[in-house]
Amino acid sequence: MSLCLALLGMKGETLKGHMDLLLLAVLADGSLHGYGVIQRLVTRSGGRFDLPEGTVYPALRRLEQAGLLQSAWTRAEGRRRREYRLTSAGRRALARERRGWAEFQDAVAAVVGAG
Amino acid sequence: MTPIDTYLSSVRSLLRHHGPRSTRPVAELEDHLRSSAVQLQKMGLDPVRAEREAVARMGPPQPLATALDPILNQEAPMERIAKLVGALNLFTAGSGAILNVVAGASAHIMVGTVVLAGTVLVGAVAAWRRSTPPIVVLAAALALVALGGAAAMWTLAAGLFRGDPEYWATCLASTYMGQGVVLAALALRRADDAPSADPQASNF
Repeated sequence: MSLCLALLGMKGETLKGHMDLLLLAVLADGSLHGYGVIQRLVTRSGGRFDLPEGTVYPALRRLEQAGLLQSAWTRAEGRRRREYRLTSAGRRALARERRGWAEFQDAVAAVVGAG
Repeated sequence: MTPIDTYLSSVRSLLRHHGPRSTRPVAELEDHLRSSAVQLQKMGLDPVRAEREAVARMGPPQPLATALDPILNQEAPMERIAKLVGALNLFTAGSGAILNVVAGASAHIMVGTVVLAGTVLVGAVAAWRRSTPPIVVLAAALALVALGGAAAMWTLAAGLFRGDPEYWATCLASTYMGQGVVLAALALRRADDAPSADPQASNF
């Protein structure tokens, strides 16, 4: 069984542990504002991630303070908007997180699959 | 007040002790909520229901503010440097003033150090959080100046002060440097936290 399948219908508390990887992955395709990040998370998960939308903001700020994201004010639809994008350190961190996730997934699949 | 305004007012109130630092998260939440409400209206909800739904999806304000607290409390390196140099500056101004009076150095240097110390004090007050009462900031600044004065008195009593012109040059240079760093830190923080006035502006 894939761990990706285990994520189906996940609630916010469960998703929190994977938030960094999810946010970095979502921003790998280009810069987005907070609402755009949520939209992309929902779209990519097929609407199965269920978390309070506000939880992305502390996570985005934390990743920015860690130097993995950078952000800037823009203006769209008459509103000020903060857009985030990956830094080169963020891209390296994403690659590491992806490798870690793949190893974890393989390890769990090996154990669970053996039963 | 609309549901979005009420929500933003709650968040603003919960983060008010962070002073100007709360501007950015509130602005981001407002953009998010209004974008979400517009999207929900396109899906057929009336404006009020769309706002209520957008607010519900955001989650309660209290946990959000609690999660933002430690992040907003974290100081930028520039702010730490500004405070350190500002403190050294006040210390230097205190010692400079005493040495000028007791050791009889030229008056304009004393005036310069005191005036610049005042400028740095104002900068430091502006840089600190609004949650720090001004009286505490003032007391800390005066304590630093007094500490500098005490150090100068000790220097004189121990016979270590020689009235070297280079000493005064160092005092003035450090004072100017401190002022510059404090002002630069303030400018950087404003640029980072304040929403841009230029509709097309992007700092990427």
